[in-house]
Amino acid sequence: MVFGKTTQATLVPAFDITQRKELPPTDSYERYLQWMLKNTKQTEPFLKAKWERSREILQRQDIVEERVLQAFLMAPREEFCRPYNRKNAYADAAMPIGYGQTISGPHMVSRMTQNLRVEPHHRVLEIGTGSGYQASVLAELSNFVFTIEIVPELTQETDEIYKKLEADYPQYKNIKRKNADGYYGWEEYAPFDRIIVTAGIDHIPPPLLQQLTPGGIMVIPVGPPSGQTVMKVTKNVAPDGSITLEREDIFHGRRKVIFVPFTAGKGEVHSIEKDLQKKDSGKKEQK
Amino acid sequence: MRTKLSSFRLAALFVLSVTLIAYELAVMRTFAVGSWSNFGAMVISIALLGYGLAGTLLTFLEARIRKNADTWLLVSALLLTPAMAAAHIVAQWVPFNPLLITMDSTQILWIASYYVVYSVPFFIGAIFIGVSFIAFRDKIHQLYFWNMLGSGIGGFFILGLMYVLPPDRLVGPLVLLAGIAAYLCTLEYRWELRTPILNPWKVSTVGLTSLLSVVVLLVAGDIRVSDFKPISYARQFPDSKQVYHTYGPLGEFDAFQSSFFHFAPGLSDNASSNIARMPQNAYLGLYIDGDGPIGIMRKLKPGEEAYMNYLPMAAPYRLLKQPKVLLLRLGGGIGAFSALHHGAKQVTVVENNPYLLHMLKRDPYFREFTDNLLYDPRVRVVQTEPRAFTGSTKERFDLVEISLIDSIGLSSAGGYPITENFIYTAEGIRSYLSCLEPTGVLAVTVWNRLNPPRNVPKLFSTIVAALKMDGAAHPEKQIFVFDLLLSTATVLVKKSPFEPKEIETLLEFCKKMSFTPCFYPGKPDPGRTFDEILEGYDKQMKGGTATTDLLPEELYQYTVSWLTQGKERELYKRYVFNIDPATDDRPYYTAYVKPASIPLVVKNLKDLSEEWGYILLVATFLVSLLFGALIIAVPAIGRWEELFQHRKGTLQVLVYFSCLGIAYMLVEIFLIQKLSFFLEDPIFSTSVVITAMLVLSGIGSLMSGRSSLPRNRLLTLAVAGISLSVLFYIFLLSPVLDALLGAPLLVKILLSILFIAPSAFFLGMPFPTGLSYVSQKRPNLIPWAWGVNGCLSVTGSVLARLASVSFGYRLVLFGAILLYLLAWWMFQSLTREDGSKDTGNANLEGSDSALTT
Repeated sequence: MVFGKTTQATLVPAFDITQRKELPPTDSYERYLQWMLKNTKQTEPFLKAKWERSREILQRQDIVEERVLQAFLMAPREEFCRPYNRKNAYADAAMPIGYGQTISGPHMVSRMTQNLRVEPHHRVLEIGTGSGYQASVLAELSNFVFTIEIVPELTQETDEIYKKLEADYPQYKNIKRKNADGYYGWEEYAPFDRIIVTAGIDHIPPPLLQQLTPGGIMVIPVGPPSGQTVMKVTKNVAPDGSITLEREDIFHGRRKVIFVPFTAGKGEVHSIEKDLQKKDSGKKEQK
Repeated sequence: MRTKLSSFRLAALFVLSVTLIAYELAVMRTFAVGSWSNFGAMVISIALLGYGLAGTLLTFLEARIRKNADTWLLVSALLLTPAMAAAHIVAQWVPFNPLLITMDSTQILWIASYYVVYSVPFFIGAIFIGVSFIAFRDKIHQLYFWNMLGSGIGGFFILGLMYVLPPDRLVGPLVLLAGIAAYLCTLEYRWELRTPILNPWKVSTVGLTSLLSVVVLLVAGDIRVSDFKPISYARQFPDSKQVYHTYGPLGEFDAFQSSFFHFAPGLSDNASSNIARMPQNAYLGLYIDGDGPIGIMRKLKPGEEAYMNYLPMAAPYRLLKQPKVLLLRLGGGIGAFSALHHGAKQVTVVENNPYLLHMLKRDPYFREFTDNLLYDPRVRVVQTEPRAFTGSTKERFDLVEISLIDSIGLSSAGGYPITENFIYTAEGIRSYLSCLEPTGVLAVTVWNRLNPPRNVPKLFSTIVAALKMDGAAHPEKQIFVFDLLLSTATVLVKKSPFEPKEIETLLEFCKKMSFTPCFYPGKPDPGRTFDEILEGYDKQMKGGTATTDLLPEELYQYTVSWLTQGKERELYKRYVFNIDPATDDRPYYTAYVKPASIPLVVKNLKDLSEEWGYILLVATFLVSLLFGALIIAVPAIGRWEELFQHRKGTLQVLVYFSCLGIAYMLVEIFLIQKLSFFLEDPIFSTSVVITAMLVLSGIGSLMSGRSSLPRNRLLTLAVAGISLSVLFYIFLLSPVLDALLGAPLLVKILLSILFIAPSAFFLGMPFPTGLSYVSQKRPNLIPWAWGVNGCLSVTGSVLARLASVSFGYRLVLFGAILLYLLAWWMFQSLTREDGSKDTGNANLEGSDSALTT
């Protein structure tokens, strides 16, 4: 069977985020600032910009959960920007990082992260490492982050950023990285509870849907190159094996549950013609 | 002898006019290859900004120029060579990124810097032309003729160059041309020798400058392709290998092989649970001018083909057994493969892109890759525009399919440009329906453009309008619509009403695919009322969170119902976007913004970023208005006393030349747009129209210069001629073009020239007639009048596009007639006020010239 591969090799996180005693306070800027200055190497101008951006993020309801907000407030976005963009790290904009790629804007990252509803025990697969910022936010929320980047040079550059930051942010040691075509997922660590795709494509890759656990959530931009819709896909498998997929627009809340007809097993090539023929012949017989 | 020297200067003007137009088109190609082709409109405005600025400057320098015109001509022609090369090179280093335009305000500055950089060569070129007008004010008609002829030939010259040179190398030959113009200006007249002679110093300076400019271009003139062009991305795929490269006027074509290309637009989510795996290495990526990719599909092995059953394009094959299929556009071949996979008896593919066809039919690599798809005995390829085929064929098909062609060649940065699209118009749909067998089906699949939905409702209104044109009594019985939420929507239109059994079959298909049936005959109304839905989208558009969870299928259902129940007017009025049917008179399927909601769209542009093509158009219009106002105002303020006080008629002159500037462009842009459909590609219509109009207008100018009619009467004749030919365009051109669609391209080009000829001939008369009057009565107004005309032409060119989007071609053309009548009236009042007996153009020729040496 394609779905329902439930046996996973047990993974041990390099750093258990659930053991952290404290996370940054979110009730006032002063307390947040003091805490961050004491516990991280982040500096005041960036912290201020980040705090201000977080207010806007809350207002736009990109983030609605305290722990996602804390993840945003922890991650040092400036470290993932290219030097020439560093000072604008918290501007409401995507910015180039070379290789024709961008670091997504803070609102987009927040909205996508929030929609994933990540828990610490979740295996989270990211397709499109890019700057590495999205995975750094995910690493605040889960102990098991996997990320795949298509461009070898970018994989290398981002790898170096992580290595540089790991001393101060041990949670980044939990991010497994590789250079590959994300279309096929990461079979070795599948299935995943959460999948986030940051590169646009004209369809949901079937291998990724296959590697999503029952109850799993995928956030993915789908559409033609000129305009993609970021959607959240939730996969539900009922005890009787019937599968439903729910598609939802993460910005406009419209959602729809669709039922996936259940078939017998992996490898069977389903033939609609056969079904229709059967149906037709059934009807003829009835007549 | 003086005449001889004048001939050299006129020749220089001719060569320079060739250069400037060719350069303008080369810059457009540069933008298309390096960043974004939609900046074409911007290049025209940059060029004309240069003209306007030059006109303004010359207004102040007119007296000085007359004393020393030769030097001005030589210096401006000489400066043009390095200026053209430098602008091209510097522009490559502007870090503009269209992808970020809605997020990063500094991008606007980078656009402005393009204006600064590129306006320099146009400014210098325009100084040359302006100085010629001042210097040769006794030969206005001849001058205008050579200027027009040069510009016209420039269009064809660059088109020819595009066949032989890659986009990176187009500027070099143009720099040499400018060098020739400069060389022609080095000739001096020596009274003692009574003949023109060469000045060796000047000649070597010209030669050296041109040569150096070309060398610099060769070294540093490569177009820097933006990192954000899709092609840059393909180059970075680890296993990517370029397998094809060619170039020509239709673009630069590059194909890449990589295992990283994956295409399956609209693929049902159910594929994941029903097929073992997707086919690997199934596609090549084809990029046109760096945009795309279009997936060129290989022949799949039997086991791999299953996924085709999960694409929306599989739907019509549930109804048709062994159909005869007509595919409008080849795309990357997936439609043809899918048709064969579903048992099509015969597949006719209509595709007009010669490069794509050449690649797939002649290149051995692609023939092998596609397993000779286009040589399959069941497949027939017709190389023409879809409508040229459907409008002329007598064949009948079981299925006509248009699948996702509106997104071919688009890039993430480009959004959906506002361009003419004659595929999706009511007349177009009607033409496809006419090719169907009585029980045949037309299948159209498009991407759903949501938040709020726009393209699918517009497609519905267009289809329903086509069915009504065809006299369908119950169009609602002929339509079946399904979509995949947040992905594609497919509309099936049957030539006759759908049978209940067919509806059942399609519903079953949708169920198996988890596609949502949005509309079908007999579908019960959704729970929500249409008022609630319309209000919901209204709120969403205004930036507020919609109170209801709006599903597009509900809107789609009501839209089709209202359209077929005669409530379309109310629907168009109430819906947040313009969803009127696209027609041949208003062929803008991708234009959805209602003029009244422009402020709202600007305010929420981040959410509505796909609409920025329209907003860019509006912005370009406003900028051109601003430039126009400045170019009119600066001389007016600077030389108020001289131009206005105690001088009657200045205002009339101003209005006269403004009207001409705008109205000429309204007609020209209309012809380019309208003929883009007839001549099968915008590049052909642009070249044919520009060249034919300029040359024929030039001839009109020359003839009017020789006419002994008083200017008043000449202008009356011209305006009458223009009005009549424009009325022909309004009432007769469409049916005439439709009837001739099937003719060979060359014949169509000749016919087009024939249609353009009468209007272009007469359009060439008012400008030089006015200018020759001005040069006689108010010579100090020449550069200003010329500059105002040039600048308002920019406004006219953008206005033409904007107004055709909002009001359709007919109104634009009526507007052009009105403007010419206004100009005529201005001229009459001018000559009346003047009181002098007007003697006509011909008497002016041969009078005093500034070119005395």
